[in-house]
Amino acid sequence: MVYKAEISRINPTCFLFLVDHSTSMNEPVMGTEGNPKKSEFVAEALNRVLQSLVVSASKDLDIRQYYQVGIIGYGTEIQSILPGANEETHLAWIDEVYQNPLRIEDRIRQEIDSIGEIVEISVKFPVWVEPYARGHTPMRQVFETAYDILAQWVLDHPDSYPPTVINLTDGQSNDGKVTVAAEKLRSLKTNDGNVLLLTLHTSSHPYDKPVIFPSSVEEMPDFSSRSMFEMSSLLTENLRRAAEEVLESEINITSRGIVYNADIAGIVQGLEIGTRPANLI
Amino acid sequence: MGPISWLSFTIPKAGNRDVENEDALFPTSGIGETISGKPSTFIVADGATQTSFSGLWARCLIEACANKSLSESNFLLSIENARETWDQTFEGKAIPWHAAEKISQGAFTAITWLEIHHSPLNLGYAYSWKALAVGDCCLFIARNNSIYVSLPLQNPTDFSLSPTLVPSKRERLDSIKGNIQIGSGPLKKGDQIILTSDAFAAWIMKQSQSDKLSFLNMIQSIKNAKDSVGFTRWINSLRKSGELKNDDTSMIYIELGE
Repeated sequence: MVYKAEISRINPTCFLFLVDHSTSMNEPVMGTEGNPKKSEFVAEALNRVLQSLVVSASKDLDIRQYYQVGIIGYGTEIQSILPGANEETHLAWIDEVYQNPLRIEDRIRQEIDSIGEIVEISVKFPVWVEPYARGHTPMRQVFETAYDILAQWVLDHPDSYPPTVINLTDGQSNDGKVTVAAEKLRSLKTNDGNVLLLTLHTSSHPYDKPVIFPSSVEEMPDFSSRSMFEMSSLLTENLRRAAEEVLESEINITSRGIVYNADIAGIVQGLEIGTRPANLI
Repeated sequence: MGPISWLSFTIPKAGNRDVENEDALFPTSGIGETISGKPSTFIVADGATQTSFSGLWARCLIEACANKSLSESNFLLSIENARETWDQTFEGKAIPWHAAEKISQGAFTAITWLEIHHSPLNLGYAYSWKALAVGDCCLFIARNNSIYVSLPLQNPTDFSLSPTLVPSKRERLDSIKGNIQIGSGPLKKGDQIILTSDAFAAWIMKQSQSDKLSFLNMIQSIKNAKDSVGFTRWINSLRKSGELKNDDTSMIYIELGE
């Protein structure tokens, strides 16, 4: 179990995002400019991370099939929300993701040019995911759905870097026995390691203290957050290195893959760290 | 046999197509010898995997260097020339957004540029060499079956995932300042010279650290390769046995004669 497999077209990897669609995701994030709803900034962050994955798989004029991607929303219903995903596997190859956005927006980005001046350039911003919030938080059921999706995937890709599951949520499960379902999901494995389950938890309240990649359960503020700590995988060496680079701080060897009470930046950073392609060849 | 004879090969990593090979060579794959008294130029470049159009960038840089005499100022001028060629490739073309984003990040390449001078009237050392290197493409010079020059890296552990590389973007050029390595020295008839990209360079270092017999076997294997098919067969056997990293692999082998 080394998490060292090179990610290639012969041995691709998989990213599966689980997105909380519960009604509370409609609440605004207080203390952030514009007070955006949690569902809005999660959708925005997901669209950015999908764009990053497409670009990282881009080689010359092609997109190489280094990843399969799935996005499962869970609220009133548990369903695939990634356009272009296969109806049976609920996954799409990264080049299929590129081909199937809902729309492409033109946006302005500021860059520093070759003589050091700030210039505004027009860039394309593809949108695959829209904000949505309705229902409860059936986290146990979505973990079971993820298990069904990935059980076949690990059989089909025995030598691949194992799938990474990223759970984006603002609350706690209310459909029971979620830790058992999470453990079962994490028990799936390839020859390179077990499925990685990362938790990105966000909060509406500006005074909630964020807990970033904690190394001990005592760092968690309450019972619910301790349960999420236990559900989340230990950070692998690659993920620890990515976290140290992004956060510019040391990450403990026993740190878990959970960001709790994160603000917008915390969610964006968590997604960047969790999807940083290790050993992409 | 001319005074300087050479053979050069380049193959993509196993599983990739020839067009996906991001290494570049000068002279390109083949066998040849020099007959004039002009300096002989040999270059190996290795475009970075993580960036796009880095094989093109490696080729642009080699082409720009190959028609100049070796010096640091000419190297910096070559980077400018190569950048113009690389940029022009995309002008006026419809580029998908994913590729445009990758192009905006620029391309990177390692390069080692070698120049050999022949001075037949100098009886002690009839040849001399000069080389310039950025990154992890390596030059080896051997005498009496023992490598005595290894540039710019010396140990298999020196190969890292993020070597300093030559960028295509002008604003990133500061990264190579202080990282351009230059060396020179005399050469004798019978000296053996190898220029390679990183995977093969690391393997050569391991071979040369064991014993002289390994070095002799290695040279014999290089000579036995004879052509690209033979080289591919040999390299694939090393990859399969786990001795050689599966990566684009390029090599120029040079012998000095009368």
